[in-house]
Amino acid sequence: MKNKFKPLSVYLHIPFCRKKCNYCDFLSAPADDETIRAYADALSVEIAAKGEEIGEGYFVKTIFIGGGTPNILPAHSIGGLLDNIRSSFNVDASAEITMEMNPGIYDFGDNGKGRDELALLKAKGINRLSIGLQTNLDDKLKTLGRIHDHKAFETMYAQAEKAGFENINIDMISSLPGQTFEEFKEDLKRTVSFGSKHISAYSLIIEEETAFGRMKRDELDLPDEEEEYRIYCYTREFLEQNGYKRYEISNYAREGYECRHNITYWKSGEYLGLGLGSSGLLNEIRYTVTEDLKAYIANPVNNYRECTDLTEKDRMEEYMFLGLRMTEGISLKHFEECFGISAWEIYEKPLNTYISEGFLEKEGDRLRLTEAGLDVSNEILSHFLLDIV
Amino acid sequence: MGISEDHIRNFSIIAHIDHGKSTLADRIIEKTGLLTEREMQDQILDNMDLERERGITIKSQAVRTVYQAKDGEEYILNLIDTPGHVDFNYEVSRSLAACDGAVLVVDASQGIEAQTLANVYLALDHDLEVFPVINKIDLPSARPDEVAREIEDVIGIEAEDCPRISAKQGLGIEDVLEAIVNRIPAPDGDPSKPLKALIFDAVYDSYKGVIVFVRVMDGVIKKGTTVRFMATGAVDEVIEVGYFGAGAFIPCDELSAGMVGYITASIKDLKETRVGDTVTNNANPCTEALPGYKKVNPMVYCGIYPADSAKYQDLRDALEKLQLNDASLVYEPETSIALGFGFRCGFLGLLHLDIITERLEREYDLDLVTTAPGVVYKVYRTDGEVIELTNPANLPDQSEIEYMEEPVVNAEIMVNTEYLGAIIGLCQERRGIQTGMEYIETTRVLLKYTLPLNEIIYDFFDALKSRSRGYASFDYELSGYERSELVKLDILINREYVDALSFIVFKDNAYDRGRRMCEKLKDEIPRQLFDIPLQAAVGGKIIARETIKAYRKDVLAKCYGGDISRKRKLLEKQKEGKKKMRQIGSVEIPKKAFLNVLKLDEE
Repeated sequence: MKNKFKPLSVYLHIPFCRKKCNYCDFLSAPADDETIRAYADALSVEIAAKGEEIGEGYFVKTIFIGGGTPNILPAHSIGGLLDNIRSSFNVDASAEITMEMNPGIYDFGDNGKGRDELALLKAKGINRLSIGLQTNLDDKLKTLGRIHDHKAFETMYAQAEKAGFENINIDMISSLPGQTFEEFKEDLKRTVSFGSKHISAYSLIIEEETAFGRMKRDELDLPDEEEEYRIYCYTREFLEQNGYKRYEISNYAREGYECRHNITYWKSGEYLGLGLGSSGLLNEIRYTVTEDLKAYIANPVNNYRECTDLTEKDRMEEYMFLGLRMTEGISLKHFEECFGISAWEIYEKPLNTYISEGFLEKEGDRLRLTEAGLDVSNEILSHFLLDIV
Repeated sequence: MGISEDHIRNFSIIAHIDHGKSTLADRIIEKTGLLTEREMQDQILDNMDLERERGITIKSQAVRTVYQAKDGEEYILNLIDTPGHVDFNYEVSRSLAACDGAVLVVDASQGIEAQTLANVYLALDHDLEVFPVINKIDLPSARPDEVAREIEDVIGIEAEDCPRISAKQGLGIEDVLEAIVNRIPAPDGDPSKPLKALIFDAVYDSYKGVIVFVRVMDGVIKKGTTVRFMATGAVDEVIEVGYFGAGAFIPCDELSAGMVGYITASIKDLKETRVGDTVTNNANPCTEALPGYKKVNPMVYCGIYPADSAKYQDLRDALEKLQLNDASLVYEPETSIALGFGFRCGFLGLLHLDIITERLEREYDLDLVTTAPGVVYKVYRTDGEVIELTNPANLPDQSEIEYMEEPVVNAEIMVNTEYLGAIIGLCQERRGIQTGMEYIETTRVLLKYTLPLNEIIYDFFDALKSRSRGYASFDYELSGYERSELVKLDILINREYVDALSFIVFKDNAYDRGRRMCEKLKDEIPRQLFDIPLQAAVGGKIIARETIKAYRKDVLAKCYGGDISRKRKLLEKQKEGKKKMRQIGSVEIPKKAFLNVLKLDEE
């Protein structure tokens, strides 16, 4: 009875923004209203088709509307998409439904349009917001190419609380051009002062295909490695002092407010990706939807760029390199239940090496990265990719 | 079939590197109509990709052309191209033995250089008729009259009326061809005598098997002849005889006295053919073999290991095939604690080493780890035994050594007076002793030095070029062994002794070398998860140290919209980087580091 429905997470991609930020390499770009409307219509078609195809067997536990800047879409459109999901899938009444938002799209003041928009989103069932702050300093916001100042964020945050959103994430980026350690301490303190339930704290990574990526390194004036490491350590210490528990490499939450949607990814759970360039994992098939906007609008159903049948090897690797991103680590027993073979047998060398070097630890059934291991997780996790045998 | 001997000319072109030897060869081939201009590819004889890329000739190549001379007669010209670099003198010597004369190319602005002299002496040693050609007269800096005088003064051959040409622009090529016909003697072998032919090269071809390059001195060789290789005693039946087209083997009926060509035979073992050996008719052998070649001894040794130890056998096969046409390459199996099974290989010089490793990697698709090159030391033990040490790891304990000797060379350096001070300084730094200094003309000096070989094998040539802005040329020959104060410098990485990084160094330089090795290794080895101490030690005593600090943060933050494949790709890339590394203990060392650590004179 209970096993009739499999749990499912749903990701909805809104690939639009007002202006591309200097560090951003996500699939997102400015677009005119007509394109945006056409896209929302295409997304509705995809939702309905997917519901028809697989909706029967699943119970939707989380929905995440990401971007881009999803609040480029008017709240009634977002509401319409959620209605579509509900009519095509079984959605859990207590599902976590997150929407990403950015300041600067419209006025969130008491007399602005933002207030009504938030109220409508709340009414349509959005129960978690993820707001892009990035930094509290106006000059740094400018450097990053953000379209808003800090005041706009404050106003938006206050309005969201007023609208009754109590589960809010703030996105923050550190190691910004010209940033010093002292300056960052102040920045982080101000972020914490909002009292949100969740904070995602990333270090700036310079990606090639971005405005920053096209600049020369010394022009960027990034903090050196020592400084970056101090910033990174301080983030962890300060957030933990203030009641945020690190539950994944870059994610911190107050007890009970971990993002359930993201945990689906890390636990290799099934998720449905809807919309341009989105990824999904269903029935051991990993897929990515086309990144061509015109092609998607013309044909939004099963228009894949890539579709891979995961092999046993792929699944083992993902189980480890995703699972170990969480501070609780993985269950060795569960690994064995999934694959019928002990993790020790598959990963004897990296497990022994890294446990003895203090980068991994085993406690009862749990295997997890130590703090030192989390610091250099890339290197450690790359050793969980298997050679072809 | 009669091509009479007096209508054959067998010759080489010799020159200092870059004086235009290969370009002249191209023009000769073009002018004699072997290829149309359209078919010409630059430097037709340099047919290894590697040769074209580097603009140098590594392997000798031969080609046959037909020239209609001004006397109305047709002549067969067999051109045997030779390498120009000092490392390949041996190859030059092999080619010259198959010739009756040589064209000496001298650059009209550079004049005589160190290897111009070296090559002329080699040619004279082989009793060849040498005539000069002054090339690159089209250059604004050309000074053909002075260069002609220089040739007469320094070399002592007549140059007043020599052809003055521009091979690049095709000027004066006729004059060169006429001079070849008129000045180079025809071969004087006897076709009716028993077969006597010199093997001057051999290559391995996957279709034809071993292709043996021969110069027939006496007698005739044809398909079906049962031949005997006099040195190895192998007897085989000739399957094909032919001559060299441009980049092609062209079969013919027979090769008779005075001719240059190739043979293939039912050769089973690559070792049956040895360059320098004499081929004769098994049924009617000649009484005496040709003198062959003086065996050259490798001057530089290094360890070559397959990056993937499963490829050991492939490496062995590849070395065997390369040795076929490069007798100066020697190898023997060795084992390293750090690198596993491989070979200690001997080379004529560093360029030779470089070329061989590159050919192994390209032509045989092998991925190699090469250790630091060293020379052959003589170790006199207290028990009276003398060891020829090619691998520093085998050096006996200091207490068992009476004394050691190292190889020294006589070096000739031609340099502009402007850079004389800088070059003398360089030679002094390298423990050189000046033995002579001659002014060739007011602005050019010939410096003579004796230098320890181990001071010049790594980077001397590069240092010479950079300190003279290219205005110095260099040639050397081994002069013998001299007693020296030498010690073994050991390197410890993460407190583990790495045998593949040990090398022998002059005692007074040990401290400085050790320090610089550690610094260099620090740059070469990427930072890892833990601190890595690097130490240099002599006789167990640490003389230098560095630490590679652990990296502390390597975090991939973003996990967006469940795009796992992107994350996977990043981890795969990280893992891929490891393949370029060699694990020594718990430390990952890039394969290139084993060779790069000795390039200390770069900045």
